[in-house]
Parts: sequence; C-alpha cells; structure tokens
Amino acid sequence: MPVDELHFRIGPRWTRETFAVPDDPLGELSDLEMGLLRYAVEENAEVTVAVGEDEWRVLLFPDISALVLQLAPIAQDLERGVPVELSLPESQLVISFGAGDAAMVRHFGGRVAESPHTVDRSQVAGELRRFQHDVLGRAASDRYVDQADVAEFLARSGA
Amino acid sequence: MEAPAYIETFVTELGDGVRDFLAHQEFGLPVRGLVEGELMPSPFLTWKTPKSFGTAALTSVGADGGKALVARLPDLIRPSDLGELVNRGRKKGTVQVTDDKTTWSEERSNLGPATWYPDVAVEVGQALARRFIESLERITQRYLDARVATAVAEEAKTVQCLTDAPEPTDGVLTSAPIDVLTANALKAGLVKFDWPGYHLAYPTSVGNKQVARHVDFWVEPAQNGTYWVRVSSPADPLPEEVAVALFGDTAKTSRLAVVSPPLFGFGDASGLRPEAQARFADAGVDTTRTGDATAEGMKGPLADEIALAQSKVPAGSDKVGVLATLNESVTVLDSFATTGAVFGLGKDPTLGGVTTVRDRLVKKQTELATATEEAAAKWAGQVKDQRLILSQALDGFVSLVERFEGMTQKVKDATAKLGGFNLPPYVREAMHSAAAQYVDVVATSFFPATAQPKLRAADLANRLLPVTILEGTMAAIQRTVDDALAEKRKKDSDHASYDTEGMRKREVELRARLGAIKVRLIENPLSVGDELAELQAEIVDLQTEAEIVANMDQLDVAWQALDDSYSVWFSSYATTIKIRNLKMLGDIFHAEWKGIFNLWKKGDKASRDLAKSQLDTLRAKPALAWYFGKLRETVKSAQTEILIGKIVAMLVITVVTMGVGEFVAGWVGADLAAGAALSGRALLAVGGAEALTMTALSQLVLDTDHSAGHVAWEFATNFAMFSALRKFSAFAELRKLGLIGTASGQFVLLEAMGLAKDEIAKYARTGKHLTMEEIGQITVQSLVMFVALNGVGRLAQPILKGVRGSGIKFGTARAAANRAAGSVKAMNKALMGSKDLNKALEYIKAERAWVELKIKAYDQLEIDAKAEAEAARQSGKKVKGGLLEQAGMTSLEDVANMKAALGEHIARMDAAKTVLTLRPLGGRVFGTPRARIGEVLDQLGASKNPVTTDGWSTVRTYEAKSPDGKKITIIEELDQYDRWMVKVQKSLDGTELAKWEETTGRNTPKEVYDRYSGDTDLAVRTVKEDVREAAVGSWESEGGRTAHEGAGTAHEGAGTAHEGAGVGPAGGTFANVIASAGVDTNVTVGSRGGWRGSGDPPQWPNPKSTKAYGHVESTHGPRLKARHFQGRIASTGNDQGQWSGPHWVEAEGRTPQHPGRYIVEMGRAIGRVYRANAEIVEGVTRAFVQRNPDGSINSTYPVTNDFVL
Repeated sequence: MPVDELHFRIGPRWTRETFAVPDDPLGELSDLEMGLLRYAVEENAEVTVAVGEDEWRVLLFPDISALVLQLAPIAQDLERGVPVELSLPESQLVISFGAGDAAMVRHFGGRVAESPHTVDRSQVAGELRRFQHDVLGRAASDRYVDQADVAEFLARSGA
Repeated sequence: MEAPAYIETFVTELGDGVRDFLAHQEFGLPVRGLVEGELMPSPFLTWKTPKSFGTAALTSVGADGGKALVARLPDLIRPSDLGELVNRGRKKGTVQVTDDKTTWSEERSNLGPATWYPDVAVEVGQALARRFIESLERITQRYLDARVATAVAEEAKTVQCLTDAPEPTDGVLTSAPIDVLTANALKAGLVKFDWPGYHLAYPTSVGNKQVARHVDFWVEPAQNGTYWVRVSSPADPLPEEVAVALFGDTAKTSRLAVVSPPLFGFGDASGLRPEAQARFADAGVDTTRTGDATAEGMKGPLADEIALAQSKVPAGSDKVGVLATLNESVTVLDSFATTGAVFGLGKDPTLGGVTTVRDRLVKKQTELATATEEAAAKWAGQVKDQRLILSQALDGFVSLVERFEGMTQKVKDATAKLGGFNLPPYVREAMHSAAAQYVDVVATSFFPATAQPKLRAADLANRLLPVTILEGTMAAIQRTVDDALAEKRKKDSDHASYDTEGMRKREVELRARLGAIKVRLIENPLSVGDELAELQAEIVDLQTEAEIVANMDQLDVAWQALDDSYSVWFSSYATTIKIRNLKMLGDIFHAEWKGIFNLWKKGDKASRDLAKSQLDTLRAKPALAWYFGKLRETVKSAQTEILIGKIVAMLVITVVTMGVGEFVAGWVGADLAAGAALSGRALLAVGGAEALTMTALSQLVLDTDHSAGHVAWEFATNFAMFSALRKFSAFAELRKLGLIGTASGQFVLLEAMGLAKDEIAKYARTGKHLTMEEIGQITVQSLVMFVALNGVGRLAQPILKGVRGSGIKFGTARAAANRAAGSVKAMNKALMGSKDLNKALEYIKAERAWVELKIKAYDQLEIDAKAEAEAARQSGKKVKGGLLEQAGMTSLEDVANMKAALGEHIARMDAAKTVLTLRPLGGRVFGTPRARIGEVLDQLGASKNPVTTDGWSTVRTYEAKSPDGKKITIIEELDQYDRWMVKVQKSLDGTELAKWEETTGRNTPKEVYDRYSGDTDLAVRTVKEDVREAAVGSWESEGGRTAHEGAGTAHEGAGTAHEGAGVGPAGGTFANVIASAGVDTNVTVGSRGGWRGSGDPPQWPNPKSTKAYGHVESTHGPRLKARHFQGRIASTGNDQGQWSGPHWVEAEGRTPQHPGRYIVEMGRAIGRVYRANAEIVEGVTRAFVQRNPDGSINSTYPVTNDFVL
C-alpha cells in the first residue's frame, strides 16, 4: 500500500455563516486562547484536510480553533509511536493513527464512511507542527495574538 | 507444645490465673447516656463491693477457676480464640531455618515451651474482661429496667413507697452466653440501687419486665449461604426475640449479623429450632451452607430495604439535601482512599478496598438525582448516617496514619516505608489490623447500624495501640528473661547477681498491671491518667536491664563457644595463637561490659547515666568491631557465626534501648532498616544481623503529640457524659492543621466546651436524652456564646481621651477607633443571649476592625512617645506630663503590652471565627456554608476555582493548604434556602435560568425564598412566564418542517416550548452512555474528575464557561437562528444540532470523566437537529460529547438516535 501524506491547507474565506465571537465572560481564557478564537471566527476560512488523495473540508472555526493548540502533544505521541487520534468533531471526522503506519479516517454521525491509509508518522507529525506554526503565525501577523505569547506557547508545548 | 496440649497441661493454672486476674478488675455499670446511642455510668447504680463482679459472675455458674472455668472460656470469650490468646501470652518456640547460604531463627507462633507463663492468664483474662465490659453495656440497662419494673409492681402491691428496690423477679434479657453470668451477678445483690433518687429523676418510669415476645416471621430467599427472615409481628421486634424464634435462645442473638427490623440476616443456619428449620424447608431454602450475611445483604435485592430500615428520616429532609450529603460522602471517601495510600490501600488486598463503596455512592447519586422528590428524600436518614460513619472512620484512620507516618518518616526506601517494614512485626501487624478494621467500616457503611459496632471496635483498636505496642515489648522481655533463666547458672556465680529470677517476677507483675490498664482503657480511659506512662517507664527499664543481662549471657556463650572450638577443631599452632589472642581481647570487653552492668544495677540516675556513657564508649571502640569481625573470620563455624550475629545485634539493641529518650519517631526504625544502627554501623556490618527490638516505639506513641495532647484531648472529650462534647474534639483537627493558633484555639475550644457542658448539664437534670443533632446545635450555640462573652465590645470606651498634644496622625487614629467603638458595643449587646451564628460572625468582623483601629492608635502613640523622649534626650530636659503619662501609662512597655493583649484577642476571635465557619467532616475535610465560602477561601489563601462541582446538588468543592502544606478540602454546605434555590434552578432550562439569575442574582437565597414564600412551583411558574413573554415569535419566522422523536412528550419550539416544573436533571429521567469511542480510561478528568489543562480549572458548571464547554454556545447554542445551521449544512453536508438550553452542563456531568467521544442519552428533550434534507427533528434526547485530554469539552451538540460514532 502506498504511503499517503497528510496535509492541511488553509483555503478561501468562509462567508456562508457568520459566527459570533465566543465570549469569555468568566475571564478564564488566556490572551493567546482568546486571540486565537477571535482570529478563527473573524478570519474564518475553509481548511482542507488531505490524506493521500482523500480530502475533507473543515473550517478554521469551529474545527481548527479547537484543535490547533493541541497539535504539539499529538505530534509528540505520533513520534513516540503510540496510538493517537486527530479529531474534528464539529465536522464529524476523526483520523486514527494506530501503533504502526496504519491510519484510518472515519466520518461519523448520520453517515458513516471509513478510508484506511498507510502513513509515515514522522511526516504527519511534521505537518501538524508546520500547520500549527502556520495558523499561529497568521494570527500573530494579523495582530490577534501577541508574537511573544506564541513563542512562549510553542516553547512550552515542545512544538 | 501446641496450644491445645498446653491448655490441657496447665488447665488449673490457666483457670485460676484468669479468675485471679478478673478478681482484680473493677467494672462499671453503664446505662443509656445523656446522648442518644451513648452509654454512661449510672448515677443510681453502684457496686456494694468494688471488684466483686468478676468473681461473682464466674461463681454463679460454678466456673470459679481451674478446669471448670477453662471449659467455659471458648464460649465466653467468643469471637476471640482461646488457642490464639494462649499463644500470644507465652514464649514462642523457635526453629532454625536455612537457605543454604544463611541460617537464622524463626519464631513459631503456634508452638512454645512446656512451661507455665502467668502472662497467658493475663492475656486470656484481658479478653474475658473485655467481653464482660461489653456484656455489662448490654445488660446493665436491662437489669435497671427489670429492677424498676419489680419495684413499681411491689409498690403497687404493698401500696407503700419502698426505700430499697428488690432484685428483679423476672429474667433479664441476655444476648450472648456471657450475658447469663453478668445477669446472674447483677441479680445476686451486688448492686446498690438508689431507688428513691431514680424515682425522683424519672417519676414516670415503670421499667421493663424483659419478657421476650413471640415472633412471627416468614422466610426470604437465601443468598449464597446467608439466610433472611422478615418479621411480621410484633412491629418492633428485638433481635433477642428473633434469636429465640430461630435458635431458641436469646443468648444466640450475636448470630444475627444483620439487624434491620423487620429484616434479619445470618450466615450460619446450624442449630435452628426444629420449628424454624421446618419453615426454611417449607420455603425451599437449603440451610446447609454458610456465608457472610452483611456482604450478601449488601449485594442482594434486599440491600436498599435493609439500609433504609437502619436509619430514621430527619424532619425537613429534601432531595437536594440528600444529593449534597451523598456528595459529601464521596469527598470524604476520596479523602479516606488518599489517606490510606501509606498503608497500601488500593494495592494491598489484605487491607480490603473502598472502590465498591464509592461506586455504590455514585450510583445512588445518579439514581436519586433522577428520582422523585419524595423517593429521594426518604434516603435522607441513611445518607446522613452513612456520611457520619465515613467521617468518623476517616477521623480514626487519619490519626492511625499519622502515627504510622511518624514511625516511618525517616525511612527512605519507598517499599519499606509503604509496608512499615522498619517496624517490629507486632507493631506493624497491630497497625495493619486497625487499618483493615477502618476499611471494613467503610465497606459496611451502606448499612450504618451494622457498621457502627465495627467503627467502635476500630476506634478501640486504635486507642489501644500504645498498650498493644507495650504488650509486644513485654513479649520481648519475656523471651529475654526466659532465655537468661534457661541457662544453667551456679548460685555462687556472677550470674546470680543478675537477679534473673527477680526480673522474671517483675515481668509477670508488669504484664498483669498492663493487662489491668488495658481493661480500664477499654472501659474508662479517664481513670488511667498517668499510670500508663509510668508503667511504660518501668517496662523500658526492665527491658534495658533484661537485654543487658541477656547480652552478658550471650557473650559468655560466645566465649564458651570459642573455647569449645579451640579444643575441637583448631589444632594448628597459628590458629591456636589467634584464638588465644581473641579470647584475651574478649575477656577485656567482657570485663568492661560487666562493669557497665554493675553500674546499671545500682539503679540511681547517676550510675545509670555513667553506664550509658561507658556503653556508648565501648560500642564506639573500633577494636570491638574488629574483634567480632576477626572472630567470625577465624572461627569458621556456622553455629558460632550465628552467635556472633546475635551478640552484635543485642549489643546494638541495648545501645538503642539505653538511649530511648533521645529518639524521635521513625529514627530508630529507619536506621536499623537501612542497615546502619546509629553509629554502630560497623558492628552491624560485621554481625550481619537484623535488630528488631523497638523499645522506643512505645515511647514514641505515648510521648508524642498523639498521646500527650491529642489522646488526652480525645479522652477528655470522649468519655461518659463528656462524650456529648465529642463534637469539639473534631475541631482539634483545626488546631493540628495550624488553621487556628495552638493557644488561642485551645482557649476558644475549652471555653466553649465549658459553656456547652453547662448547657448539656441542664438537659441532664431533666432526664432528657439528646440526639447528636441537638448536641451539634449546642456546640454551635456555645461557640456563639463564647464570642458574646469574650467580645470586648461591651466594654468599649473612648480610648486615650487624656492624650493631648500628640500629632495629627495619632488624633486621626484615635478618633477612628473611638467612632467604631459605639457600633461594636451595640452589636456585642445584641449578641448576648443570641444563638445566631451569622450575628456572631458579623460581630467578630466588626470587632476586629475596631481592635485593629485601636492598635493603630497605640502604634502612633508609641511613635510619638519615642519622638518625645528623643527630643527630651537631645535637649537634656526631663519630660513631665508627657504623652505616656497622659495616656495613663508609665513606659513604652505598657504600650507594647496593650498592643500584645489586643493582638492576642484578635487571634482568639479569629480562632472562634474559623471554628464557627469550618465544620469538620472527617480528617482534613471541612464543610462551610455556601454564603461564607468566599471569605473562608480568602482566609485560607485558597483559589476560588472549585476542584469539583457536583452536577446534581451544585455543591462545589475547593482545596486549600494548611500552613504546613497539608491539603485541606472544603465543601460548600447548603442551608434550607440554598437547597430551595437549587430546587428551583433544577426546574429551569438555560434561558429560564438566565432570567432567574437576572431577577434574583443580587439577593440572598433567604430573601428570594421569602419573596416566593418558599413556594417552588410559584417561583418556577413566574420565571417561565417571564421567559415565554419575551420569547414569543422568535422562532416562528424561521420556517422548516418539524418532526418529533425521542422522549416525545417534551415539545420545544417557538412559543410552544413547554417543560413542566420539575423537569430537568432531577426531573425523573435517566441518562445512559449509548456509545463511546477513543476513550482513554487511564486519564480521569472533567467536572468531577479533575483538571489537567493549563492555569486554573474551568468554572464548572457555569454554562458560560468557555474554558469548560468550549464554543458550544456560539456554534450550537439556543439563541442561534436556523440560518446558521442551514449554511453549515450546505457546506459540510452534516446534520447540525442545537441545544434548547444550556443542557451541555448536564451532558458533561453525565459523560464519563475520561477523554473520548460519547453519545449520551439524556432521557428528555434537549434540543433539535437540523437535517441535511431540511427536516428539523425536535425533541431529541441524545447528545454527542467529545472530552479533551485536559477534561474540557471540545464539542457537544444534540444528535438524533441514528447518530453513530
């Protein structure tokens, strides 16, 4: 079975639905978390998730915004060879990476579909890190988040 | 010789010895006490001749010693085993064990020499005395009732007032074989009864004739070798009456393991009366098996009925209160599990476990949360009683663990520390046994009445630990002395001076005294006083002496062995020279040793100090270590090597023993376990021996905080009439944790206890029995009274009036203090005679502010006075009529004293405040009123983010740290107004809840309660109407087809949404996890499971918490319009769910506390789903929930029944 690569691609702006910026009335979120949310909502865009030739379309908000800060530990687990899931529940999508090179993309919910793939875990981990840097970098360059906060987060999360 | 043969051989000594031991014991006459469920000595019953009971009881059945008594012992001491007691009391046999490399001696607990040890009789006598104490606790009240009944009947018959009540004419109900002896003795005229006094105190009492009534019952199905009967008549059957019906004898009552009238359970059906046997046969029950009735009862179909029957439902109970109490139990239990980790709880199967209990509690929470108000409220008594049992078990367990930690604190090896392997086996086993008893209490707590006696037994085992440890020490002395005696010594030899026979006599005498103290500790701890400490000192002395003597013997044996070796094996010249040199060196050490021993024998302090010092010197001599090493190397004989090892060990032990006063908890054990006995490292290395004696332990237990302060406190508040004040002893934990100052805390508690005692004494004079609830109220009231009486506000006067000419700062500070004085004075006056806790707290707050202002004024006075003095010094003029004089003071020291006194007062009032706001729930778990939680957390410097929030009762739990870093758990307590608010809130959906908060957020729960006159329905109806009015029309413009599914009855939508009052998490529906995927059960996180994310935990269960619930409100919230979902559907092709209210909070609560994806059945309508085919499915009842690894919710939305993971 050929080895498929995972890729995240940020596409055009998403305008079909305007979400309200999630509020943080209790002041629980950090500046980075809140800024990232604002970026994802106000600059919402389609994001293509591709594994080999299969592609799925998800959104910066609410899909990627809920995942992006967790990508570093997922990448670390991939590199350690332990089973791990990449989950996009708003789009009812989950990519499961087994202990070896096997991966399964599953669409759940009302219509269920699965597609098995063989992946290179190090490529997947690298792509997750690249994508995380990409999203955070965009949010920083658009001044939604502070560059220093991003740097500190990346350093702390081992990204 | 094994125990049965030993008993047969020494039957006369054993029987007579037990009789004699009993004859020296004084027993009490306990009756129902002032506090419900507690016993106390009766003021109306006294022994005519003290210490006459034991002999009279035995004589009444012809068992006054020897064989006759021994024959009855197995029945009388049950559940203790005679053989085990005999083995405990005598010297153990030893056997040589080898593993090819090493040979060592091991004890055989079932074997011992064929020698009579008087300690055996003490051991058995103690057990029998304990059974008599228990028997008197059962029988004395019955005897009193029977005697009263007889007196009343006699007075009626003779129509005259008797001055002396005759002995009962009818029998006294017995519950165990030993009760027969007890009843006989009581009725034999030993007891003086102050009948006139009793009659005056209880004029309406007519006693009780103690006649067992006939019992009708039917047989319930058996459960795994356990048997169950349900009594149909009488309505209030006594267990003794059931015992008669089943076994034909009230003395067999103890066979009923579960007593929950009308249900009774037992695990052994042998000996049933033929009639009863026939009933079981008719019911098709096989009675040949045996089982554990408590355990089976808890697992079986009768469990709930049994549990409910063991408690009374308190007045004013409600569902929210029940759920809150269950939440407390879970928290207390979690604390128990954490505390027990040092004993290996959860890992050591011999200790038992508490996970089953926790699972049952959580299950009961879920069950009652969805039950009706009435069904849930009927559990109020059981959950309260179970929580009390758990709290008390935690208290005892914590004190046990603290003792254990104290003894192992210096141990570095984690395994040794966990198992306490640095401790001697008898200490380790005693502690393990007490720990297992507490775990068993917890395991049984679902049946509170069944757990209660187990709790008492566990507490007793805990309380007796110092004695148990001393018993172990005595056993070691017994062996040492016996070994010394066994050696053949000539009368005119040096060994005669050792007086081993004298030591033996002292050992026997001390063991008997220790036994007597143990009996008194069981019955009346207060009567022991300092005796135990004094006895301990004597035991330590004897042990030291015995070990020195033993060491001398051992050294002699070693040297003798050396001589033997010389003559038998070694013939070469070189070896002979070596041996001879070693012998010479050994003689020198021997002489030095003997000198030390002689010094010790003198007995005076100076000689003993010198002996100790010389022994230290001897032990530290490198030549001694070299000598033993060389000896072992030269004499290659296994037997001699063992002897050398033994000598070295004994030498080190003696050093340890002699220095016992210097040791602190854990030190000795740690060093020995680490293989280096203090500075005797070299000796141990040479000897390769294990030193096991731990004389210091008894000292540790008796002389540390656990005994001197804590135990004394426990005793003072725990016994007899003062058991009513036990409530206060729990507050001592606050002192221990450093949450209140030692001196100020003690002052507050002792003063308040005094006030409570006076209050309780008033009740005592009326003959009333107080419930624990009432005692709790008196406790709080006495603390309020303390605040009122000790408040200095009532004495408030303007201060420092006469001071003129000081600066502006002083004038301002004085004015502020004097302004505050007026209001404080009024508050103090109002508090007098009040029992209001809140008023007391308000007063403390105001008084503190006032006193602080006063201190500031004195601070300024001090500054100004110093400046004045300095100015005078520089000018060389004397100050006349200066500031201090104007203030009525003579020196700056007076100012400092005044400030110190004010500071001390603040500390006392702070302590009172802490005691008033923190209710001990066991160990380091405290409850605090919801209204006070903020200030309590501030006071403790704790985070205001709860660690858990109970979704059912909304109770939040917080964590704080004591000054010494110990974790403290604080649980919110709901008063009746808080509970009412929760009840209303649980009947509202998210929109309604927001409206409710909008209209009531600024009021106290009591104000809101009063606004609606406590009418839940009215409050719910009002808020729903408010919301409905505001919402009409908001949905109708959205269009789309509608469909219904799921529960079907709840229809939600524009203008037509209706949810009946009471529908909600607590509205009578039940949730299940329908499916799950990607679950990581190794991680427990969530609102009840903990937080693993960054920063503080989210604010569960606030629906507005973005950190907890993510963006759910933005993406699936109830306020979104249909077009939002239609746009998303068009892009993704996925169905989209919308919540009808903030039910995601409940969905999270019902989702397992592990990361993963779940479909949860909510059991009621929670929202709608927009289908990709434009259909709208209303009233869906399931939710998709994805939990992140940190515990937060990644995503959650309503789904249809065809949604799969």
